[in-house]
Amino acid sequence: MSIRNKALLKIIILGDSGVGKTSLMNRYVKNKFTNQYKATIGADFLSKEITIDDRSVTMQIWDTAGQERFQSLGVSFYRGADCCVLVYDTNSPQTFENLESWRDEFLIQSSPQDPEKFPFVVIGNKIDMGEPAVSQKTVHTWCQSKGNIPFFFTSAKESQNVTEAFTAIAQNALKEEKTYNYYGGDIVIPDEDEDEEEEERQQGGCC
Amino acid sequence: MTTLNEQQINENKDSENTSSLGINKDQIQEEKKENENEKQEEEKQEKKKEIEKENINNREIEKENEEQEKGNHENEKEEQEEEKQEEEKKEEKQEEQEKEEEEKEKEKEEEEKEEEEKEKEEEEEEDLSSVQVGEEDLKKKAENFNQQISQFRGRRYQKHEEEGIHDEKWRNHKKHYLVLTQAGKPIYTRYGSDSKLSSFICVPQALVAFVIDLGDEIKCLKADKHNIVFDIRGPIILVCVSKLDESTEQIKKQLKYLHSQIIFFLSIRGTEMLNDRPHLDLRSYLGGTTKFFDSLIHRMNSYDFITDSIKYLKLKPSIREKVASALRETKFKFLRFAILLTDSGIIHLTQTKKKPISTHDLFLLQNFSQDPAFRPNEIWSPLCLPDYNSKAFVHAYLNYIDKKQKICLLLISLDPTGFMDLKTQSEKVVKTLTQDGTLDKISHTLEKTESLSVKSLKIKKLRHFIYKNRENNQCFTMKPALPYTLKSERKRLYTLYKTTRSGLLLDSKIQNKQYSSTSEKEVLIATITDDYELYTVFHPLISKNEAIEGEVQVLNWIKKNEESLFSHNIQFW
Repeated sequence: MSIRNKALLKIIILGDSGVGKTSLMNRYVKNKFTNQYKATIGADFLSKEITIDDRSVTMQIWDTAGQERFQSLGVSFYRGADCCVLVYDTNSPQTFENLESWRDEFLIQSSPQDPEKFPFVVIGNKIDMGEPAVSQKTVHTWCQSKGNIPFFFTSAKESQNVTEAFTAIAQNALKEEKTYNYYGGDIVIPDEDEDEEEEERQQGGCC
Repeated sequence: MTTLNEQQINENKDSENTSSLGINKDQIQEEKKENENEKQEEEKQEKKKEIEKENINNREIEKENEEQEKGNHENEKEEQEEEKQEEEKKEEKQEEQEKEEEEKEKEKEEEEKEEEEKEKEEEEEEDLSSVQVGEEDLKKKAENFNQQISQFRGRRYQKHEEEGIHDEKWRNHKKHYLVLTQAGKPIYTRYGSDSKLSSFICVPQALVAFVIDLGDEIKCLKADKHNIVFDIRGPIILVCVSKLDESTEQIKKQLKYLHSQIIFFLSIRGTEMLNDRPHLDLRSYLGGTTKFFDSLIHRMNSYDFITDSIKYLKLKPSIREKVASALRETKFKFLRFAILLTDSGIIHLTQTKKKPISTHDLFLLQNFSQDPAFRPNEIWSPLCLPDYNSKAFVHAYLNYIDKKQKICLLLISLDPTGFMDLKTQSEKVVKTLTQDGTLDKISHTLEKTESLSVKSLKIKKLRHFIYKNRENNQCFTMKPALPYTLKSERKRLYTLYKTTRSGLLLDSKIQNKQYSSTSEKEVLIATITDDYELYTVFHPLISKNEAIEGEVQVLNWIKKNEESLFSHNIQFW
């Protein structure tokens, strides 16, 4: 049935303030960009429908505030994410170094079943601003050490690589979905034992 | 049909042009009349068709209103009606559209009917073979079953599917229900498509999450005229945004039923999957059951839901006794409940003594069994009765034994492989009931009582009443008199009953209460005692004495007819 073919992916975007999380999302969903910086307060939500391998996928994108004073959304907020996007500014080594703590924070807060395999994607944004301050090799090494996280260099301003990055995000999240589809098809009916107990209990009395 | 349609469109276009130029108003009105006449004819035809073939549930509920509300077939149409009055020019366009819609719908229905008939034929063929093949057929059935069910469940009335949060229409709905997981993934939304609402649905999640992290739980929010009520049940968040004059408690009750509807299909264990895997998309397991949520919400505006009781149908005691004995005969090892019911109420219920069915579960069963898609076939489905046992599935056998009056036999068993057994039991019941003509008698009585209005009591200025027998949680009511035959007025009446009742039940220490309220629209008298609840509504220009006298008359009438109104001795095996 058609509904089976549909997927909804919860995607959380994390990273230091000012690295361009909201810009990336706006470029991807609305194809818009503004040079003005407006801090995200709390969280912003946008969604976009795409098709991947004949599957209609709704991406539910949770854009979070990078500033620490808004970091109050906490545990419940991260729950049930399908993919986490870590964003840094290619011109600011500090924002890259902080990815480590963003990743740890996410894993602690969302406590996924298999932290080693949870899908992350790294995005180095603002490549239009000149030579990157963080070398590709450094990024590559770090990503490999964290379980081969795919990484992308993008420019939300010039719309470089943004769609590619988000498509990869969706694909990564879907890959994970396949492994849990173990329940899929029809729900495992949990009643067998219960029913017998029930029967035994009831048979004694009335029947 | 297409040529006719085109003609109509042309006509309407013409009238539209003139109306915009403002030249010939009479002509417009004439044409309007013509349109209405045409519509009436259409409706008559439809009515016939509806009688001949079985039709979609919603429509039938509306049938009663046709004289008052021409062309208003869908629930929310009168909301549009209000707008319509404001914008007369648009009216004609809308009418035209409605007409087109109606015709399209008709086509669709016909297609569906054909499909259903085909399915029916197939089913009958299968049935024949099943006599010979037996168990093999059962296996086959089990394989086909899920496919069939998902097919049935897939046909939702898709009127509001395309609405998104930026649509004026979506924003104007008086009541929204949103059901989502703790992760913020949608499970059910009453209006609009999941994908269009998928970013909006994060907002209630974020609110809930924020308050949870403060170590508290959000209950409700008031914003202008809106009451936003939250109900967090395990991994599931239920939200209702209501513009209606309803108390938070009343809305909570509705949300509880919506949650039960999820349990009904998945059992509590199904929803517990979310604890381990919060990112799970529950919709894929609910496989297109949305229409049952829609109809459940629709049913929340019913007298039995308002009074937390079960509606029994008025029948001669002798007939009911015959049904009772027929159902008693079905006694079988794993059988727990045998229910004979129609869309408007229960005819009879037989059950085991040890664990009787709750009003709550019965309400869900009634909602489930009345799906029009079930009518042509026998149905065998696992389902979960939340009050009976929220952790396990029971297995329901469903068979419409009288297609005309839509009398349905529902057998609930614990045995997942018991289809053939129940089929045999069902055949026994049908045989017993048809042999002595009981089924015909029931069908006949229902036909007669279907349109029975309070007017038939001939009590002066009485407009409506509900009587609830508190002893056995059964209620009785009749078709209301004017103005409650109008949908908008009836909705107001529901709200009046709801608020009156919840107010009266607040203080449970006082046993006997009487309450009256007078407004420019009506006079209401409510009495609650240990034995019963009675709500009577009168014309606004009635004296107090007259009203009290009227209430006594209603009570006397009920006492006199008690045996046929209620099923006093609920049967046990």
